[in-house]
Amino acid sequence: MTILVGRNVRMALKSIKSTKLRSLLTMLGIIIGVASVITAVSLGEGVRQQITGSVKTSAKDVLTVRPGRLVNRDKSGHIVSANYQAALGTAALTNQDLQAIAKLPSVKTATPLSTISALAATREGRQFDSIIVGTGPDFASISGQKVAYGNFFDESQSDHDVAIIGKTVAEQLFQENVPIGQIAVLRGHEFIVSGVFDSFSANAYTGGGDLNTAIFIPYDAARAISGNATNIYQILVTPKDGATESLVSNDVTQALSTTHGGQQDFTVLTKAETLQLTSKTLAILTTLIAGIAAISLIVGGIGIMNIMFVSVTERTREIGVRKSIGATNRQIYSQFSIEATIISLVGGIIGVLLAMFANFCLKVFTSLTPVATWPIIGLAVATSTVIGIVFGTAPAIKAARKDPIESLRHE
Amino acid sequence: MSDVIELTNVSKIYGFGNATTVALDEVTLNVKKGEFVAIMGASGSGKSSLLNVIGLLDRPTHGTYSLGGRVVSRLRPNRLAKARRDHIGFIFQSFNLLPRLTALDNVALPLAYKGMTQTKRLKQAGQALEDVGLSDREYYFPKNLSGGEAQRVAIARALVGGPSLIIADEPTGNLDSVNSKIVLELLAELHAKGSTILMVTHNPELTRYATRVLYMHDGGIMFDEQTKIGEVPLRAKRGGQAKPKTDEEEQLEGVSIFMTAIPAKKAPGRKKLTKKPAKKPKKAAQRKPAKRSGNNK
Repeated sequence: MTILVGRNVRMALKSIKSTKLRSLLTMLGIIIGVASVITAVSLGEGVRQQITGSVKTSAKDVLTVRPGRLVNRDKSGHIVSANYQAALGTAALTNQDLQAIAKLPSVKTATPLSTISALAATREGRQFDSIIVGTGPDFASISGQKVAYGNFFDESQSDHDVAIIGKTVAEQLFQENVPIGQIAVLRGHEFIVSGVFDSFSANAYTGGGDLNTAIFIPYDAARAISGNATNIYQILVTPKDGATESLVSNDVTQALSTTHGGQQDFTVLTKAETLQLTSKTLAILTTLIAGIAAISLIVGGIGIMNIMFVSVTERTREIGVRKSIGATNRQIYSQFSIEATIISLVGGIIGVLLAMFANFCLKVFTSLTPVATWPIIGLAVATSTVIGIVFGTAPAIKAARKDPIESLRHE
Repeated sequence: MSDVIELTNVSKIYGFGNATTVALDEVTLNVKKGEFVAIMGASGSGKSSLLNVIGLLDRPTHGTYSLGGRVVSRLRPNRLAKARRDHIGFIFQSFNLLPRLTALDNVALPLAYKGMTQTKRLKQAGQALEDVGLSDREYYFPKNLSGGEAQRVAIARALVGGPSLIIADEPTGNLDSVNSKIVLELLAELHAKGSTILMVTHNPELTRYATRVLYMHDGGIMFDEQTKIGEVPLRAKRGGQAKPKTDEEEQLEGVSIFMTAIPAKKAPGRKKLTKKPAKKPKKAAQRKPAKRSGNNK
């Protein structure tokens, strides 16, 4: 059976060329669908790669302590599922928890990450709505975050009023790239800018939020200006030499259980578990967003089907002529099916190009670094092809079943 | 000469119940190889239905149709399409060229459906266009061709596959006299080379090119006449009307195929038939036993 694939592909491309606007409108659903799915998945993949990278480049063994029971474990202690409701909770770790961990013989350092509400300002009165993070001197080395200009505060500066700021704070609040030595006023207290962080990327140890808009000050200073009302959302724990992750994990769990009255309303995660949890969370989020975006692919498919039905009606006479000169039903079916597939495929390719452009814009204009991998692109193009085949079937069958005599009479 | 077309008691009925239309009524027709048959008749006489059946675009409701000795009247649509592709070339009144294809591609299309390679089919299509004198129009699109040229391209398309039968449905209907003559000369040339041609026409003058003229009326072949090339038969000059219709025929036309007489004329006869038996049996029943009994006595 000759189905004339090459000829039908050429005919389909010719058809698309001859009705550019209509073809573009037909493809629009597929274009938007493919572009949004690729962009969503690329973003997820980009963040996943950043987090994986940050974990790999960070201190060798870091345990993360977070408030709330974030994971459910089996009897052997392995994570069986994530408890996302706990992540939405308002529970926080306290200074008492921090002290309890820091005192443990197996713990080398315990670095808190706490936030206080404050509006950053300059002496000139310029204000910027930034996140104020109170942390320890080991934060930079643990998180693997580079300081672009100046230095992060050390142990000796833990009680000093120094601040290390994010890139956006430097640009927005101080309106210069290197505002080292400038004064940032937080809750009436003046902090000397001693360093500017390199651009923050997604990091498993920094929690959510855009830390390019954050000002990092010593934890003690944060407590002092907030009247001890700091909310610790995470404690990063490094084990002493010779202490294993599991030993530290057990120690921390026991210590915090004591301070929490025997309740385990906190989560201690090893480096691998942090990575696992973050990746899992990201995968769920990416799938969810990509799933929503994929709905437009279905809508696009329906659009193609609709236009193909119109095309079949418009070309009824052509169908009659083709049948009269010997085209079989299968050959007519193939012609219209291939045409629908080509429209969808071209839409898919345009969608990929649009996604590439969107990814490029996101990279240039935001701190996000979407990564479009070949499997994602291949899958998107394959999906658009399948949509073309599936949604082109009904119009193609209609075309193939047309009566040649009736078709030849059609005006 | 062997018969290319053998129609035996072929009928084509459309619709059902009270809406039945008989397009072809028990048509029997044999066409020999190399004949040029012109078909004439008024609108609705069944010419197109006959062409559709012979051209394998439609299947007869009753009867048998053999094309080239092979019974094709009950073929499935797919086999019908293949038979059409291999044995029949169509020439339409409105040319029916595909507007998005060049003349060369239009001519090559039937070969594409045969599965011929592109190089071969383009070469063959080029030859067919040369045969109709349009080798310089190969890359023209239909919209850039004159009516006569478009019809010649359509003829080339009909010829390209080497069909055993060429069906032309009013091929000059949309052409002026000059182009009509060119097209007919082309068909005459094909006929001279041995092609079998079936042509529907309303123009008696075109029957000059035919060797046989069929006159159709009410789905049947009313007259079947052998003619000499160059002559216009007398019946054709009368516009295909072989004999004037009677008043009764005029009145009955289009009412029902089952109605062969005007009801008003036959009704009195029927009344007699229905009334008499209703009364007679009583009398007969009374008399006959009496007579019988009389006889017996």
